[in-house]
Amino acid sequence: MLVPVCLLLAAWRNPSGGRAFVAGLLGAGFSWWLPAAWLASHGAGLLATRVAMLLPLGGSTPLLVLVSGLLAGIVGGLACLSGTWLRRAVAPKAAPQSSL
Amino acid sequence: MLRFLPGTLVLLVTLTLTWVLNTKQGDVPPVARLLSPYRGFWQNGETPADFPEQQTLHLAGLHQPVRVRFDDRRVPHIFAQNDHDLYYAQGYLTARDRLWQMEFMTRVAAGRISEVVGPRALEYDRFQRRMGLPYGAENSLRAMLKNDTTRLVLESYSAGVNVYISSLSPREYPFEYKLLDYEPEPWQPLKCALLLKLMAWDLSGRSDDLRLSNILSKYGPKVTQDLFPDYPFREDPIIPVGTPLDFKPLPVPATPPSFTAALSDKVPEREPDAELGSNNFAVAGSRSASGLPLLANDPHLQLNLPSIWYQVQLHAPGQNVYGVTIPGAPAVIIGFNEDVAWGVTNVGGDVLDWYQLKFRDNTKREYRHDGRWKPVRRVVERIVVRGLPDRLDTVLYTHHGPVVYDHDEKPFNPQTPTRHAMRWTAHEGADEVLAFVKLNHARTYQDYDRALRTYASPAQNFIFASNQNDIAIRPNGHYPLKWPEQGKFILDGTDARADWQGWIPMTQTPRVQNPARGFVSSANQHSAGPDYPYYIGWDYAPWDRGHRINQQLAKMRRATADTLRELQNDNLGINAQTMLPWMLMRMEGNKLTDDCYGMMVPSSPELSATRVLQKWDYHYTTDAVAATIFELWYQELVERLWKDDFSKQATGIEMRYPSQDRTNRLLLAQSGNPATCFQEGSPWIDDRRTPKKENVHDLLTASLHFAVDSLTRKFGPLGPKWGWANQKSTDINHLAQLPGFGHQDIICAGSRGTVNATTSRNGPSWRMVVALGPQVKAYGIFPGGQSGNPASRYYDDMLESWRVGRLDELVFLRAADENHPRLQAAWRLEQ
Repeated sequence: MLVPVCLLLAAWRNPSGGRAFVAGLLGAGFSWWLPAAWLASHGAGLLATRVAMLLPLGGSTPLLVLVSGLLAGIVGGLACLSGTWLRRAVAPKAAPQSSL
Repeated sequence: MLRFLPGTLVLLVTLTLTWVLNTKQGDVPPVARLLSPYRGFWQNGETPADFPEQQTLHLAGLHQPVRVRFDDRRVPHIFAQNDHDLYYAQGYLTARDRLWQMEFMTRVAAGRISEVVGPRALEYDRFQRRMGLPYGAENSLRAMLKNDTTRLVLESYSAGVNVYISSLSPREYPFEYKLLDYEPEPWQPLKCALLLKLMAWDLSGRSDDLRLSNILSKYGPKVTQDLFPDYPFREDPIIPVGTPLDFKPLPVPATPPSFTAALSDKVPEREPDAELGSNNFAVAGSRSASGLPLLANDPHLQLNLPSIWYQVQLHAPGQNVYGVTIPGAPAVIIGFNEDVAWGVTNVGGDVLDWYQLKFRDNTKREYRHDGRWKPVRRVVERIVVRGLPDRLDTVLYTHHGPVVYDHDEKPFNPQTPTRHAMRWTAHEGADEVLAFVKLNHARTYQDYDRALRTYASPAQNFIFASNQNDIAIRPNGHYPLKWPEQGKFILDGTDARADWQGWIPMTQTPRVQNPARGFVSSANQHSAGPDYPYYIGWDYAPWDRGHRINQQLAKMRRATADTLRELQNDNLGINAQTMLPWMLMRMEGNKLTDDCYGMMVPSSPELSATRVLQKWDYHYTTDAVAATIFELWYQELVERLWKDDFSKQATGIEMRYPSQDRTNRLLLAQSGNPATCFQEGSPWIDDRRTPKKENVHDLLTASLHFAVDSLTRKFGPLGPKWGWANQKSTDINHLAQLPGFGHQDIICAGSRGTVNATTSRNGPSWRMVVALGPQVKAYGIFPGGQSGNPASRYYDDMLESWRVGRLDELVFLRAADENHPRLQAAWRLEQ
């Protein structure tokens, strides 16, 4: 789900490569960071601590939230990057420098 | 085309990364799915809103509405209008709390772990199947389904579990499914039977036949009989010696000519823990403050999370019972109702024997028995292995049972002799569930008597007390009718006289009701004294716990539930009390100047250690430094005594050491006459591997030095860090050994030989005390919690009370709408 959404959004808006990656990273990252952080403080905190010991992340819930969002963020960033580059490959001249 | 290259490459990387993060890679879980806030572990959190105070659940298959009250420990109190709905609701609610655990345990029993974790569990799965656990479960299921009551119980329970499973979306699966990346499968009555077989393996799956046969071959019958006697020197049997028999014993089969089994060189890797055990005891009204009996039970098992037990109250027409059950097993296994209470401990009888086989040829299609060649039955086991093709394994069966290992490959459990068939009571079909259902309904001693008749395996010491002032205990189960020592050694599989020749009648198992001494008890010691007419086994738990319990019970006057609770938490070490004075005396001797051994150097750590030991009261309290020193010293002494004669390392043969009782008897007999410099001692004292002739003082000195040196290296100089709890280091681990999901280094008292039998991994898995009366009152605790969800505070909320030896008063309701300050939620289940 995350990959096609990011890819299509980037292809539509067609930002520069760097901007596309950062936008994808932050957009996808926050789509996981925010609910993970909310759930960590609403019932999943104890389990998050345990999972953070298992992985191991020293039992740190904030670090686990960060890692969770980073996973989504990296995938989202790469998907955006591929979206904008593929768009430029298809229509190289239509490249307005807008950001997402 | 080149301009497509960067975008395509990045897209490929993206898709590959997405696939990698969403797929299980070896033992690494699918990380993205696990960490996703939308469907991963974050969704397993538990808030108060997830457990509403009032709600109605609509469940297909219920006949009439069921009311469930939950107390502040999350114990469900189920009020149903018929038995179908009662067990349906029990299945549903147990699955709600413990689905992963109950399903995983049945996979363990069935040898189906490779389906979940892949080829690394293959040998384990093969072992479970070759030991015949699924075979035994299928036999038991057939027996259970023949009875209408048991069929109803099993099918209703399974329906309840399945309704819960089918209500789950992957997002709602318990955490462990997400971590291990698999899905729950439908529950079947067979799984209930599998759980019982797993308990049978834990409690009756140990076998020393191989080791004893090797000892017999190496040292001959005289030494074997001397060092491995059938009845210990010190014993306090469950059924007191002199208890009159109320039956005429059957003739015992004649002992056939002796059989010398072939030597075997296998090394044990996996077998049930010898430290598993339990206590139960009940005092008559003559010894209680209320004038009515009190009953206590604490089964000692490996301590895990989610907890081994699950508390529940079951109320339906004709029954109102409270207690614990194993998640996945219907009814209550240990508990009480308004009239009676019961509990169980394990019987150490020998109910697993090995028969050395003679095949006609290498095809192993026929075996010799009773003067004829008989066909071998071949059963093909299909083992599903995650990520690999299915593995087929052909298991041979004789009329005795499965041939656990039939060719020279590396056996998973090398305790199991090659080319031997196994006979085990757990393979026989019996209806243990019916026994528990009947106990749940029992109102009198006669009901208890009738309930136990269908209970076969694993044999248990069923203790009983009623508000009609009856107390009783019965080491109950199916015991083969054996000649003395039958099955102590490997048996001749070709000789029909070596077969099991029937069973001890269920009306003739050891038993006692209302003994004159006013109490009954068991702690895994011998079921009965030498005056009992049948041979059940020879190797039971040491007498320590049983003796201490009986000592204390004999002193009890006007006992209350708290008196029994205190006894459950008793930390006196009988072995230390027996041996330490002798060890210290032999160390220091009467003549410290005798030159046959050196004095301990003043200010040496060994001398300081003995000073600490001299002041010890033999209690294994958390801070007892002396307990730490004694345990290590004694263990090392035993090791040095027997290692040269009975260890594989020294002899090249797989054997075992004599029992604690026999060891102590030998040691205490060393008079320690300094005049002869101890040289007249037992020949076993000498280490055969050295030119010197060691005496008992040499052993004591060397083992004390070893103990003190080891502890100094581990904890530093003698001091509070040497405290017993530090050394013992009790851990309660997650069933799947997940770091972060258990509790390590729990500071708690007790040791393997104390009534409070808490060791590094085992301990009282449920402590219960019941005060019978016009209004029964009961108390209980287990080291964990009701919930199997590691996100829940009810996962381990009882641990602290357990650690310090407190008990909860159990909320026992008489009616669904009864008020009680500790009730927190009321649910309604209906069609």
